[in-house]
Amino acid sequence: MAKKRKKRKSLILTAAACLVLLLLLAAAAYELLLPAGPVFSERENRMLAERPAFSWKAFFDGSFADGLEKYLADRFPGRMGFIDFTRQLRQVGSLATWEDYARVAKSDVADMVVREDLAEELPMVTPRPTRPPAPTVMSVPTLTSAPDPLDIPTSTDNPAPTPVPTPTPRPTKAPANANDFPEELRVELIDGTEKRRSYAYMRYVVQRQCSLFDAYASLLPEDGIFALTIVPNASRANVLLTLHDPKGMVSEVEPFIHAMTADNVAAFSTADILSAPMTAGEYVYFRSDMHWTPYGAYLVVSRMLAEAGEMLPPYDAFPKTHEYPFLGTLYRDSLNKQMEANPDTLDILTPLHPVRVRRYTTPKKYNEVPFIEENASPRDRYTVYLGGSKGNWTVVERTDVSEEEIQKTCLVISDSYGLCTMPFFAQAYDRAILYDSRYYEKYAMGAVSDLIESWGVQDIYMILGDYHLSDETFCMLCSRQY
Amino acid sequence: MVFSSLTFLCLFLPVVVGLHSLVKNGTARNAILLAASLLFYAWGEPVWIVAMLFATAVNYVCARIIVGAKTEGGRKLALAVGILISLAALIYFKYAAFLVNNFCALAGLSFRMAQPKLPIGISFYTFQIITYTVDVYRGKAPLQRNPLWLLLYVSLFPQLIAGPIVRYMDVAAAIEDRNVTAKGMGEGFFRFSLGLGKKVLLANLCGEVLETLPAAADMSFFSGWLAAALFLLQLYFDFSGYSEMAIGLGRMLGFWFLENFDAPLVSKSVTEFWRRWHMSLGTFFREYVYIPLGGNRVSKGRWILNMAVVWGLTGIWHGANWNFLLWGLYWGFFMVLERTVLEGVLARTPSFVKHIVTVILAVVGFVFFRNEFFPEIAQQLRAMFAPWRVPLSDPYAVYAVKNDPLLLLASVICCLPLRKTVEAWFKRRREAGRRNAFRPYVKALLALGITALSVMFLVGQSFNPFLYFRF
Repeated sequence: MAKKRKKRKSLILTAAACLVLLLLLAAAAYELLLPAGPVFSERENRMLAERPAFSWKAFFDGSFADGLEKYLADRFPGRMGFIDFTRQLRQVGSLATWEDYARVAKSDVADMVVREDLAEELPMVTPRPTRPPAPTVMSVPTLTSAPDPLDIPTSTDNPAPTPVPTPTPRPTKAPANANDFPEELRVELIDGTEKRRSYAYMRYVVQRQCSLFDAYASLLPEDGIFALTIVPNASRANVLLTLHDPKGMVSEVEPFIHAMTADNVAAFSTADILSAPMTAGEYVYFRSDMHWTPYGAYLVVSRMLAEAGEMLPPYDAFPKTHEYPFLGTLYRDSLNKQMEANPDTLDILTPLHPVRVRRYTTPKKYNEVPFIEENASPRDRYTVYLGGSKGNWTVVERTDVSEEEIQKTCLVISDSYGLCTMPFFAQAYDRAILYDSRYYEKYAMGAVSDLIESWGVQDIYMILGDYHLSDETFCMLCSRQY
Repeated sequence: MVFSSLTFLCLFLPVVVGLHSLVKNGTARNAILLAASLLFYAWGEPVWIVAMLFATAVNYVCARIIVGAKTEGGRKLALAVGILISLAALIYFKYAAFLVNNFCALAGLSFRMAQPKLPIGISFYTFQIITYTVDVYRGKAPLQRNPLWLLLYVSLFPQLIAGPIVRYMDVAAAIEDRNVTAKGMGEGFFRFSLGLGKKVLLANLCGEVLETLPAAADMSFFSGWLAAALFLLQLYFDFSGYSEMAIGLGRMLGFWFLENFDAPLVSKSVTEFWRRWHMSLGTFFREYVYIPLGGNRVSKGRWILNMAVVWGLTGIWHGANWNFLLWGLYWGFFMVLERTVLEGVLARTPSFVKHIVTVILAVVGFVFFRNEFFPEIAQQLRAMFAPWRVPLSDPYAVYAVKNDPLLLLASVICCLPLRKTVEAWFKRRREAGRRNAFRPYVKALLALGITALSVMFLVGQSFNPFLYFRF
């Protein structure tokens, strides 16, 4: 009896082994035998791997083996549960604070590596020959009133916000020589003792992009402006807050663009505009997300609009429909406990006047979408404005005036940073159009230059995440769609 | 194919172990195992199977000639041909570009040879097939008359890609006839799961943390030491995990492979470290290089030369680059030092000091292994030993330690000889007349838990959010 019990016990481990092997085989069989069509992962925003088709060629070149491994991993039963569990498990016992993460976080979208192979491919954009050349002398916009320094826009977290400066007349640019600028155009963080290089653009890459900006500017009426700003990623900008003695950010790239482009092109340094508020502790960047806050966007857009002679009401004057707790992409990368305990706050603002939003799929076909996506999931709350920047051509128009009365139209060329600028552009203009080259379908909409003409665009604002200036995806697409 | 892939775990392993266990006929078992091993090797890179077949065929013929030769000269010639042809393939694939390019650089020639693609596992199976021919020559191993079974020895999938280096004489009997038992299956799976856990839960994660640390040129004092220690841990868990999986798979299939690692980081001397680290490689070089050179039964000068040759070869076996040669000679230097000038000093030194010094030497030694180029080695050593010339700390090292304290703690604990200690504890209880009723349950739970967690992490690694187009 005792012998039998001993033998039975010795087989427990064998039974466990058989059980595991059978379960693993069952998981693979489930994946391989059941029909599996294409599956899109919302969480990862990509198509999951599909079952590889067997062929001797694929077997011999190794692509079948690679494809099968990817397929087994991507379609493993309970995969997302495993992913969540293992990511949470790794955070057990973590002592890292938000500041620790901010100092080491990489750009969560793309490293600032200039891919010279792609940079070489960047086209020099030629302005449309039918359009008049950009004027060499710009008319100075007349301001109806200077902003009152006491009308400082405030957010709930900003007891002492930075004043929006008075717009200054735009001078005629002196001819510039690209060689007067360094080979690398740097963006640097300053901490009182030393400069810390954050990243750099190659001069010749930015020079090529300037031809695109000039081409846009050439489409505008005589008093129209093309205003550009480059927004440092929060994961880089937040490093400033963790420095021992933060002084601010400086950037060499905007002065270069400003000098190398036509007179009606103005480049604004977001680094310059936001560094003082940021070091003063104002809430201009999210801590848990790569983007700026609506308040940060407001400060920069105010400056850009001032260039076109437009003044915005104070930040607090904008109706705030919601105030969401928000944990964005940087949190999702790190699962940092301190971020989780202190989520960001996302203000959801609307223009002071009523608007409607139309998302065009062809020049004549559109869908109505809400200005604020009420049902945005907590994960995608940054995209509550207009439901995100997806779409060919998204038009926000005042509804308290008739279509015939619409006078001022601007185009906002932007990536995701442009989303929370829309309440401000829609306030300043009767019609504000959002165009994101990553989602634009030229075969359906035609050339952007034609649309700029047919929609009577007077001013263009380009708002780019810093990683989009030097890589091909955004600016090269803009060039092709021009 | 590698053991820590889902293709292996979910398809290959259950099917092969299942078929092998169900079939009772020895020839059929060998046929299944041979077919599985060839598929395992061919998976993803089928073309290199030709190199393995060639090496096996050459040594099969040479071994037959050795046994059938009438004269000692003929036997020696066959032995030399077998060894040289096997080594020629290894030298061509692994070392030719290194040798040619260094020669051309020294001679001022502009010619550069492109590095041929390295057949997987060539360093392991070349040494294995050499042990067969040499042991047949020495009369220590029987001649294998069936070329397919010799090919099975060379291609045996548990130890094919990353060892241990199994001598033919250690598995010759099992190839002819082996006993596959339910107990062996359970015990083997237990060892396999421990190895899988070391690889997936410790080595891979240590590697992930290591990647977040700065490059050698930007290292602080803290990150220099942390990177060196993490690399040693990653390499140890990776290699010992793979060996443990191989040993476990062997048990499941009825083979007994010798241990390859025995908690080397508890060693109290460099000599002891190498008795515990990659033991099968050490055995190979001792049996087939060091002793034929005369071992230590020669003059002191000759012995130092022998040590230099053996450790130089040990280093260069790991890779065709100067840093590996330097790494091997580093160990040889300290081993000679220990056995000569430090012999008396070591005898009087407290154990814990010897242990700390050995661990430090190991951590520093693997800086040579990790960094391919001398400037990188110099930069990391400067960060480690000249703290006045670099910052004391940096945010990356601080974040790594603060974000993953449990991983680091678990890694240090798992360097201890835990399995042996627990087995010894159970043994003591048994000898004291106490029942170990819970032992199989603990082992089963451990095996289940570690395997499940490892599979979850393997699946979790496929999480690849494409954020670029997110917004």
